[in-house]
Amino acid sequence: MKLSRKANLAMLVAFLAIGFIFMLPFLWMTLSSIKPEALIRGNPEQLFPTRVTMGNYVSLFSQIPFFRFLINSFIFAGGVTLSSLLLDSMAGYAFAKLPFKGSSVIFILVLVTMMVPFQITMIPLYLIMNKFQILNTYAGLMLPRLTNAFGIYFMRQSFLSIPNELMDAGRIDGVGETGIFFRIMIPVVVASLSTLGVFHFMYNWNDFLWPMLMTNTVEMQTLPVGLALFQGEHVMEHGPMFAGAVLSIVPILIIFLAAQKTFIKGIALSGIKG
Amino acid sequence: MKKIVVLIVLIALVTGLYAGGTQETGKKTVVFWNGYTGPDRPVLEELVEQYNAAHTDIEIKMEIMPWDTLFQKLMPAMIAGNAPDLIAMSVGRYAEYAQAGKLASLDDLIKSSKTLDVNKLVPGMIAAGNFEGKQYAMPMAFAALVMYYNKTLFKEAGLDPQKAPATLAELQDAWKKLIKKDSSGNVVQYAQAIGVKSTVPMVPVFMWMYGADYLKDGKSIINSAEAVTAMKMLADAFKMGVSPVGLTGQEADNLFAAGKAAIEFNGPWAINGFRGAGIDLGIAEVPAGPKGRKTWGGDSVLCITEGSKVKEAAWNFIEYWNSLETQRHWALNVGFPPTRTDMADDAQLKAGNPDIVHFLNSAPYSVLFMAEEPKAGRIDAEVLVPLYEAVTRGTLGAEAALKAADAKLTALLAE
Amino acid sequence: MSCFAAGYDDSVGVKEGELVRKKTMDRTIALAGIRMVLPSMLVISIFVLYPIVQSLWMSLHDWNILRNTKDFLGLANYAKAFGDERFVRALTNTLVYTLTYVPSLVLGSLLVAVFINYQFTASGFFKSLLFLPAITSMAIVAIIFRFLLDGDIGLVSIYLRNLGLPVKDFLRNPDTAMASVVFTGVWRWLGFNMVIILSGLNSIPDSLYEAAEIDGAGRVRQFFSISLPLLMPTMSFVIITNLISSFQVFDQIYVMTKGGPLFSTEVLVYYIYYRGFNVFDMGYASAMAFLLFCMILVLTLIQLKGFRSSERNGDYS
Repeated sequence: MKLSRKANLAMLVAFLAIGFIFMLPFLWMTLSSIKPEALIRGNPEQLFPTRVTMGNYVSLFSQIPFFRFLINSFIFAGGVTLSSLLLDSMAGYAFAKLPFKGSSVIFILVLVTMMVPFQITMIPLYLIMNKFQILNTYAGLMLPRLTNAFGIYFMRQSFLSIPNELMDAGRIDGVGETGIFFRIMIPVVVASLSTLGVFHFMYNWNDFLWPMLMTNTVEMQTLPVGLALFQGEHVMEHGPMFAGAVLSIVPILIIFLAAQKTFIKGIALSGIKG
Repeated sequence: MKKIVVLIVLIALVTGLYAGGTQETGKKTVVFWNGYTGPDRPVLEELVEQYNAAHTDIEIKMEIMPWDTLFQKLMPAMIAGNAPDLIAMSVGRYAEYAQAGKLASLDDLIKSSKTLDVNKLVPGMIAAGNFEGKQYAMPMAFAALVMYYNKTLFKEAGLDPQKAPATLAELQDAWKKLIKKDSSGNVVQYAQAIGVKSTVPMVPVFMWMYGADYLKDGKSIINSAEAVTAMKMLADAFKMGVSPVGLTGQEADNLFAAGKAAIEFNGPWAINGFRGAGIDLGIAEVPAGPKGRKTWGGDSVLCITEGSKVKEAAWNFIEYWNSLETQRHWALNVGFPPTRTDMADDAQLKAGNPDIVHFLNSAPYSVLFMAEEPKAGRIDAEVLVPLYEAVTRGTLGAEAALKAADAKLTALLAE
Repeated sequence: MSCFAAGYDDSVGVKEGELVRKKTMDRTIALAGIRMVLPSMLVISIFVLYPIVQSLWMSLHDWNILRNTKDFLGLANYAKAFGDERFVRALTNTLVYTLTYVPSLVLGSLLVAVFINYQFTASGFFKSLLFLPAITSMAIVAIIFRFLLDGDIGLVSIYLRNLGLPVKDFLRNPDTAMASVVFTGVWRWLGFNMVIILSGLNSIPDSLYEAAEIDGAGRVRQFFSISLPLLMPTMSFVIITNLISSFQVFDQIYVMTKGGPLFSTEVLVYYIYYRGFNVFDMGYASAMAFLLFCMILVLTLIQLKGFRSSERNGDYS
């Protein structure tokens, strides 16, 4: 669909305005991460620093074991994402294309799990983890997240829009159901998978409540929990916290941009065009 | 592809089962939770390291997290039987846990202590740590509210920067001079940043100036003639533009640090931040009101949990903590006054931290606000904050607001 | 029973041999379905459903850990909620939040996705830019907004003042606090939902649009006759998931307003959290959580039924 010059310009202008509103908080945060603490609360608040310092980044690395937190976050978010992609797509596919007795009821049950606030269920969950003796371990952190209701729902929707012909062809060819799933269906939904992967990674990377509850020691804690160490009772050290936030965005951004590439490749491969 | 994924997940799970801390045998491990994040943390960590190095039979395993987090985790930990041995908590919060039987009584440990003499510690804090006749909490950090003022803004307003207001009357006079408005009548400079929620108690200082108070013997005395006068004064002050309405403690701090408010009641932790923000900082004790001078005192106490198996070891740390050397180090590096009363003439202390004299002077008349009241947190959130907001916003008159607060408070206490 | 999957064509006139083969096929498929669903269901049953059941059990008791009580109360906690003024107010606030947040978010992300899909200059850059807010943790976002929206020293207030517009103390004023919290939520999640809708848009074949263009349909017409109908599965997903999460909003309120000022932004989950963690009344808190859950469930079921027919239409071949 080609755009006329006028339409193109109109959209560009509109998005520049929207973009500014979206950028402003980030710009402020990034610039604040190189301001000395006093300027962050300065009078008046200024976007651009009059004095620049890398002190916040130095504090970030010297005051907390930043790399340890980073690694823990990678293991947690990465492991959970990989597992979730597998399990979510399997379940989503089954709900979409492999009907069995009671599957719609079970699907509703899955949705139901999204409807109870985590603040309430985290206490019983914590007690279960305690019983299994896996508090403060990677296993404890990751087990409840190996699959995810949102992911299952998302993949189901993706699979729903795939024509049945593809499955029929596979069945006629004598490819087993598992084969159909891995060799025919997955390649078609690669775009959705990479999108979901970014979402899962992002959500678990930034999750605070669950890792905070499950971990006690620095060896196991993730980045958001670590950055909270700069939040004093009376005094908040905004500078290092923003520096930490800036750095913690970087990995996700890279993953997001990389996923974009698969995105485009995925569409080309799915053979939907034309 | 699938096999790799499964392999990775399996590896993660298996390593996970072995990760996360092993216990050292032969040493008594004391798990210590506290909320000293922020700039105080390195000092605390250093002191704990020194302790661990000096003791071969005891190891303090400290876990630091924001206070919110600490209390969120404490509940499930207690249910699961994983509670820490030693907990620091704000002096206003321990009573709840003491009442529920979750804290150990320290009386025997105090009696048999060879190094710790309770009479040398701030009496207000010791009294506050005593619940229903038993001592459950020992002082960890003591702080009092003093009055910070911006000397530059004082000079501009024609006030003497060396002479801070010493009485309420002088304070009110200063307010009038410090408020600056622009052409459309909006306030561009406030006289005093007064926080009403999520804050150290600033409003109570004013209540105490008039001789009003909140609780007595477990009953509400909030609806008194003195309280009405105090609230009316505040309502008028806010209308005049002394402070923005609805400030949290943090916002009040930010306002003062930004130079947009000339005065703030705050504690010792704020000094470095304010000076770092370039404020020409004046420190003085809070002004005296018509019925006297009282300020808020408090901060944190150390408690031992009832279920702890290493109570003596934990007590040993408490003794260490309140010792002369530790308190000196703490006071010098963090800026809090010491928990001991015998350091008023400590030369090192005075030389290293000249500001401390204001806090030391405030200690005798500091009140530990609602310290032994288990429902203190709820009272603040459900009765006091709505009261302050209603009065300062002008949505309710002082009498009506106090009457409603009194009713709510009585109902809450009866629950 | 196979209402959620595009099923086989059970049309009449199938020969008996084929019928038997089809039944065997159905069984193989059903077994495969169960196999594929099993791992997830295992994890969810143990780690999500079981805690939910336990919370339900808690809600029937006077479960206060500080008082060590566990008396059975039956439905008393539930009845208590309806007489609790604060619960009712939290419910109202939650509804206000949802009714403001969900339409703004859904319409906003739809519009933005459609425009970005037109691929104007640098649209790829804007796509990443709008997604950026979702990448940061909500706690940090809330802290940033708290600074920016401060009525006295916040950047937003300063800019507005410079432009001569009226400045309100956004977070401290009961009239504007809710709007500010909604705005923060929309700011955070717009890009996220936009990406979801974009992936839905991308799966619509270009050939359909080309055919429509040949037939003389303009861009707007194309949107309403092609994009929108075929986006139904995606849109239903977006609306339902955002409804579910908006009823449970908590993070930004906890950091930005703590339910204030004057309880104007206290939503259900915040009150539930307060009762559970500050009053330690886990029984009552769980009961309220289940009332919330029932509301969400009813709403979701209604939505699913409504969208089901459009989903079946969405199954094109």
